[in-house]
Parts: sequence; C-alpha cells; structure tokens
Amino acid sequence: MAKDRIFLRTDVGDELLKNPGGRISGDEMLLMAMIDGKTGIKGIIKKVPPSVREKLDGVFAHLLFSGYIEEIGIVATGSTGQHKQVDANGTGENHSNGKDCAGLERELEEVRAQLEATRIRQKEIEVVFHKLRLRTSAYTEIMHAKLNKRLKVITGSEISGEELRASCERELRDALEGLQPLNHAVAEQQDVLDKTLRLKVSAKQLEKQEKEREEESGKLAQSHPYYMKLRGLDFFKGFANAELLQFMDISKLQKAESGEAILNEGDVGMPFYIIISGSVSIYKHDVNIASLEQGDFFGEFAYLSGEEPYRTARVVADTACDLMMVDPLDIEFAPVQLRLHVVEALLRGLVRRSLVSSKPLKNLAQDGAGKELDMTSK
Amino acid sequence: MAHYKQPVSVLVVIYTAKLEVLLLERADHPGYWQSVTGSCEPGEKLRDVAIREVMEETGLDARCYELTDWEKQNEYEIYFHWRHRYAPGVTRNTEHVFGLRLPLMAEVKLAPREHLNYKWLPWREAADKVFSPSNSEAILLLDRKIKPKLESH
Repeated sequence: MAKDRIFLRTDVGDELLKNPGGRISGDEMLLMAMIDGKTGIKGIIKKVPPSVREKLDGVFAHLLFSGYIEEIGIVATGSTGQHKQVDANGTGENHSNGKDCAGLERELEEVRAQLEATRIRQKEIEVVFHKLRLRTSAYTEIMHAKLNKRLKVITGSEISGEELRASCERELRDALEGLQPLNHAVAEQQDVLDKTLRLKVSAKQLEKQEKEREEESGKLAQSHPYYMKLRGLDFFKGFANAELLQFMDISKLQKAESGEAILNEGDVGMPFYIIISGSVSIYKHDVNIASLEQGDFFGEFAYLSGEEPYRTARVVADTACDLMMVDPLDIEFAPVQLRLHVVEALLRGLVRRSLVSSKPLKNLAQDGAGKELDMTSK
Repeated sequence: MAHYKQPVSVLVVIYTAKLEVLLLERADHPGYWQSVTGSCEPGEKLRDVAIREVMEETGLDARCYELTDWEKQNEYEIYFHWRHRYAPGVTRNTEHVFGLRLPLMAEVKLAPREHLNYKWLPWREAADKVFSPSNSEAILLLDRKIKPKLESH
C-alpha cells in the first residue's frame, strides 16, 4: 500500500480562488481548484495535463510558500483506489469502515471534483467576461472621445458621451417613429401613381376610340349623298363629322319647286330651314325684303322670338330648292353638344346679318351685293 | 305677354270602348302627335280645364261622355323654347291625367292654329306614336283602367 500526501486550501487560498485578480497563474489556479483535502498528490497528478505534471513540485512549493494551501496528512492508497485518510489534526473521522461507505465516498469525491471543475470554468469565463467588459468600455470611451472631439469641431460646444448617446437614441427613436407615416405616405403615393397610370391608359384608349369613331363617321358621312354639299356650307363649319351626321338624322330633307311657297305669313309652325341648294325670296306683305341662297337659313324667328309660333313672312322658292327642315323639338332631344352647336350656328348667322344691316347705307350701296341685305322670315 | 301660363296642365286621353285612341298632330311641330293637352287658367278647376281643352281642340263635349280623373300626375321639364310662356324661373310642369271614354270613334273638329291632323289608333300603336314619354305612359295605363270594366260587361 503506497502513501500519498494530502493538502487543503487555506482561507487565503479559498479567497484567492474566488477572486484571482491576476495574482496566481492559470496552472496554480488549476491545482488550487483540485485540492480538496481528500485527493492526494498522486490523484492530482493523474488528472492534470502532462505539461503541468512536470512543474507540479514547483507549483506546490509556491502555493505552500504563499500560504494558499497546507498539508493536512498522509493517506494510504490501495490498488482498488480506496483512500484511507488519516486525520493529522485528530479531528477527522475514519470513512473507510464499510464497502457502502467507501462507494459513497468515491461518488462524493467525483461529484466534488466535477463541481470544482465547473467552478474553475466559471471563473475563467468570468475573467474573460471581465476583460471583454473592460475592452468594450474602453472602446466606448475612445469612440465618445472621438465623437466629442468631432462634435466640438462642428458645434464648438462640448457634449458629454451620455448626452450624445441619449440624443442619438432619441434621434433614432424619432427616426423610427417618423418612418411609419413615411411608409404609409409612400404606399399612398404608390397607390396614387398606380391610379394615375391606369387613368392615363384609359384616357389614351378613349382618345383612340374617339379618333376611330370620328374616322368612321367621316367615312359614313362621305357615303351620304348630301354630305359633301353640307360639309361645304357655312352653317356646319364647326361641326364634327359625327355631329353633322346626327344633325342630318334629326332634320328632314324637303324639296321645293321654283315659285312654290315654302312658308306663308300667319301660318303656325316652329321648324326652321337651311338651304342646301337653290335660292328663296322673303316677302313681307308682298314686299320682297330679302333673298337667301345656299348655306343661309330662314324660319328661325318662330323658334327664337319667344312669341307665338306664327310665320311672320312668306318664303318663296326662286329656283328648285333642296332644304333641310329642323324642328326645335328635335334640337331639344338632341345631345347637348349638338344642340349648342346648332344654336351657335344660328346665332353667328344672325349676328352677321345684324352687322350688315347696321352698315351705313353708303357702304351698302358700294357693296352692292343683294345677299348682304338679307333679312330672313322676320 | 298679358299673363304667364300656369305650370299646371291636363292631359286627356280620349279613347273608345274598343281601345282606339285619338291623337292630334301639332301645328307648331308638324309630325309630332299627342293627346289633348292644355294649361290651367288661374282659378280654374282641373276637370273644367279638361272639358274646355277637349272642346277647344276636338269640338267634343266631354260632359256628354265618361270623363275620369285617373289621379295620376306627371312632372316634367318644360321644353326650353316654351319656357318663355311661363313665369321667370319656372322650369317644371305638373300634368294631371284624365281619361275620356267614347262609345265609338267620333268626327273631330280641329282647332286650325293648334293642330294639323287627327288619327284614331289602336292603343298600343298610339302609345308608340306620341312624342312625349308621359303621354305614352298614360295611354299604356288604359290596359289596367279598362280591362276590368270590359270583363264585367
């Protein structure tokens, strides 16, 4: 049976293990942690890495010398690995009385050893953590110092690191808060853009359709026997092809032979007439007051005067005439745009006549054109 | 103008037991057909307006036949070129519908300055022929107004 020396940590050693503070080396720490008052030097040697084994004597010497550990006795070790502890101080108890007791003792030792190893690992981690914290705070300090320096340059005033951090945090928070409405705004903007785009596309399509319709009307209109004649008339100058077609639809073609009375003074009637070809004379009480020809209109007085719808003049065809008869009721039923254009055409014709009739007589004589003296059915 | 037209009028659908309907062609708008119509004079009762207008426009004495107030009113926009006959700002007219039942188609004496022609037409054709939508609607009511009576006879 071999003998083995047993050591125990002193209070100073315990304290040191809890708070190394760089006063002992890693190997010394390792050994200190393994010393438990039960495991002998031989047991410890088995557990440490070979590199430490070589300097084990020196390490023990240093620990003993420094008063971190103390020798508490000698133990006999058997081939079974059982430890027989001898109480050097006379206060210990003999734990090797039975097989059960020895097994428990062994297990306890193992648990203790594991616990100790864990503690060592914890210490190591704490050390690393402490170092990291130191480095972090040092780095932060440096960065704050740098930022302060730069801010000082920019603003000319001194701001502490705390203030800077607070203000940065505040800014960040504000920025994040500000980002949300901004996101909403962007989404809305996107929506508006989408809608605008869709509208633009439909506007383009509508434009295209309008153009096609106008072209179609143009073709259709040109196939109509009177279209070319009507297109050339002053009355229809501003009419789109489609409008001219609509107008042709609501008006009735009427022919008059030379000498035929188209309207008689005192007749009831509201339609007005546009001369497509030929010419007519207007008589009031059998006096010829005007002659009208292609492109002129007559019979509008009953429509526009606001009086009872009686004819106020007789209209006689001077030649064979093609006429368009238009009933104001049909104008009322027509689309607003067409209605407006018809009324504008009538108005324009009337204004032209009023200008002519207000010319000084001298000028009229010089003009000499009978057409300019035109008065209509009035 | 001596006085403005009232924006209240009557429409009298004149029809026979066989549902032929009398239509008149307007003199001021040739080609436009309609039933007897006319505006109320101030203080005049609707029934009296109906009797007067039937007499003026057809020469028939409505008091000799079955004149019924159908208790139907049409409100419509007055045509722009007729508005000057009404008080300033008046744009809508209320028309009260009457029915005048004749035993047979009768000779009609037109008012020369108001109408050019008259026609008796089967009720559905008549409803198609008139230019005013409310007039057409009134003629189509005949179906409902008369059918029960025809069946009971």
